[in-house]
Amino acid sequence: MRLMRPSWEGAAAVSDDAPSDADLWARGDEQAFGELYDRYAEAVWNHAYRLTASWSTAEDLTSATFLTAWRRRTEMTLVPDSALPWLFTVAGNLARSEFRRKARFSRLLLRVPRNDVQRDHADEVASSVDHETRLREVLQAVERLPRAEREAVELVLLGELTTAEAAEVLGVAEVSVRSRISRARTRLRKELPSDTLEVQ
Amino acid sequence: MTINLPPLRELPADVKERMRPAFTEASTRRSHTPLAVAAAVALLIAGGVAVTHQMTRDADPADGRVVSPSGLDVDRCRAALNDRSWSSSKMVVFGLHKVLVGDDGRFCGLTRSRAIVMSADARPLQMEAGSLVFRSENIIAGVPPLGARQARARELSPGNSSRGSTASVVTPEFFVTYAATGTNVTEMVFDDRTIPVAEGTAPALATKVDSFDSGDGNPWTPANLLARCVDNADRQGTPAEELQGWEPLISTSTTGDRGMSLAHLGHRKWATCTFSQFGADILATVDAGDPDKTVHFSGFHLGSEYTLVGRTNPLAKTIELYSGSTRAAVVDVADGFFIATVPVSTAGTRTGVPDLQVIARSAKNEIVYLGGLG
Repeated sequence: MRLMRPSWEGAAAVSDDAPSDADLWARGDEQAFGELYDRYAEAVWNHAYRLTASWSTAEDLTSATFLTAWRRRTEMTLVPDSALPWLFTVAGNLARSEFRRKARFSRLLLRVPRNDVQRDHADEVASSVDHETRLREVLQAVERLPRAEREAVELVLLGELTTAEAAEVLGVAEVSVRSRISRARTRLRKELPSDTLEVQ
Repeated sequence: MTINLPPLRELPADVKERMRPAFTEASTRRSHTPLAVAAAVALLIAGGVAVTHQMTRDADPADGRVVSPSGLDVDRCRAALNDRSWSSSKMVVFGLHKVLVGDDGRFCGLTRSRAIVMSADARPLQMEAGSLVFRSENIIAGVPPLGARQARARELSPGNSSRGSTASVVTPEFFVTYAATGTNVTEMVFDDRTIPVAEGTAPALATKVDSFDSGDGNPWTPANLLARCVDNADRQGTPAEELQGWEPLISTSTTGDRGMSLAHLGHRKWATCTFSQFGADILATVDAGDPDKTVHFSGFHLGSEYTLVGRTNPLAKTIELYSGSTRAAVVDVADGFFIATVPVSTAGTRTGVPDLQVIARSAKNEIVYLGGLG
């Protein structure tokens, strides 16, 4: 069995004879979107976490992303085979709204005991907290990037899409995405502590 | 250089099912939130997506429901919160109830005669999704879960009957629900998702303080007395549309003694309300019968006096009330209505109400009615 979309970890494997994302999108019924959800829920959930540094927010964001897809299904046709870049873009937009909203209410909500959904085993908690702290630092730095660079970073560095996929969903040439990523890396290198980055 | 990212996790089955949206047709018939619009706009410029038809901006369900508060509204809230720096640019209105959304996330409720604000020790409740920030008898407000489009506060009683909010406004930043009758909240429903609210965890009831929409802090002015009576009628379930537009016409006391006020609605309808230092009754519309008859239709005793509300010839400007040959009172008439206080001891009474004779005079001092008080 050949897998159509092996490239993104977290995207469910799909058999060769299964309908493509575009086919499911075109069908637009509950079963078709349920299938799209099964294919990409894990990928979107992980990406949502990387965009928010909160697993509970990632859950809401994942639901909202697929709900947005469902509500918009009749208004657009999915041209590329994979819906994932599109879903990542929606998640990014929703995450920015969530940042603005939380910033506004942060003063009040700081008084509320945190009730994030915690699924870690005890021996994973310290590692998880460390990841979250680092991820929050990264996200704050990404949030300060110019919009074009931020979108590219979210898709390529956080979302681990290829530059070609990001270029397609952003509607720009691949070379532009590479250029944006390069500029963003320079800025991030100046802003982030060295242990937040890995040099390749 | 790459960003040192946390490792990807395998999605637990229970989380996956918890996140799964309800892909139902009902969802698509709802209008769209700004979040959805923002996402869609981004898609329009995405090369991988072709738009099959012209997309127009969908109506936000909160559009038209979120308005700007007046300077007076903001000032009333600042005074109630005792915070001159508090600010708000968004307000939701449910009938006679206004809810201002503070830029700092604090809510403030306003009625005609009161401001309702979160008490200093109240704690917002972070639910499994969204949060509750403000709770009063009629209003529940907070931050909705991401993407929520509808909200309802419900109270489930042990008998499994339920009641709940009857109206709501949901935006990406806040939600406000309104219940015409006082409701506790035992669960919140956002779209199709029900979130339990454990007993005792909701924020403490907000605190009420006197605050009048006239801008005058004196509770005994005719306008403020009327405001209090209107609020009380609202609490008793009088429809809000029947309580809009009333203006004071006559009031017997401005010092806090027991008294009575008369209000008019465009000089076409009239209503009375009694009050005392302990509070006010509800605004009750008057059915005074035939407008050409001089009648006494309401009143109350206070010590050796009786205060009555009556109606006489609409042309009358003043009315004189006689108990036998003794003139007991002379009062002005407005819209044909008058309120007079007469001593009970000056006359015999009929079921506790003095027998009175009346002379009503016009602005030209002509007698327009002479006779008894029916």
